[in-house]
Amino acid sequence: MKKSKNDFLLALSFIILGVLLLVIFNVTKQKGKFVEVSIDGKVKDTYNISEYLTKEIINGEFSNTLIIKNGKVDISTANCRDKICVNHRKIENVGETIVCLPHKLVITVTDGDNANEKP
Amino acid sequence: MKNLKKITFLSILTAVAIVLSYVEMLIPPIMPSIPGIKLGLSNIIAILLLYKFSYKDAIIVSVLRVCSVALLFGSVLTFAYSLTGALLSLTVMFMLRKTNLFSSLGVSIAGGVTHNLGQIMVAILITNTLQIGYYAIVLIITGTLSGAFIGILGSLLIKYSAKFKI
Repeated sequence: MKKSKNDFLLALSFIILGVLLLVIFNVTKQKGKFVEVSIDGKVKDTYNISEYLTKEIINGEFSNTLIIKNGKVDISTANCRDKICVNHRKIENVGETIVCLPHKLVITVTDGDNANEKP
Repeated sequence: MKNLKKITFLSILTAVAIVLSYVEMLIPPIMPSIPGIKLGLSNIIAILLLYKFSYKDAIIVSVLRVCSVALLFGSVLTFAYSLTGALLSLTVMFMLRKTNLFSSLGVSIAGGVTHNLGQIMVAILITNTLQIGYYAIVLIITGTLSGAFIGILGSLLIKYSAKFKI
């Protein structure tokens, strides 16, 4: 039936869109240079990704522990409820982020050039 | 349908939608690394409303559902995400339905995807970054799958609801 075929095409086009985005994101990725820590949308700190540091980010009652090691960025502990940020894998490419939504914390890897930040 | 009967029926559907949202929360997270992966079970009610009632009725029930769920189980954040997802997906589903090119399954798939995309848009606004948009990739795929699942259930509901005098 025509409608079933249209349904299938619709679903297929969404999947193709997803795959397309995936390919685009993976092909255009580049190793990062800096690590930006933003709270509530404002950049609070910027570090070099080649640094070695362990820092506890405290924002009132919110706490997340940031670790920069071997050119990779990770959050090792946090006192949020879902711990999504803690379970996240280490990030290292430009545009990659670790987000702690309840703490409004965003850790971003950048190449230092704000105009070129990958969407 | 008499006005009173309709109001009562819509109220019952609203209650069911609220319970479905709650049940959804009880299911253990499939992918903890990505927040917001939800089956969207309440969309079954939304689809039923779109096909058996009107767009306006669907909006009213959905808004009531979002407000109630946010007040009962969630936070302001939950409210913002749910409302955007619900309104966006309802509007898209209504428009697709009007074209008459798709069955309720296709409409529901589109609904699932736009629901998730709506939520990602809110997340982008709240975290003030574009990078979180990377999650959109997975959310499109899960939106398609959950939309399909909801669509199958929804179409069954629509089919069997014909037996009831609404």
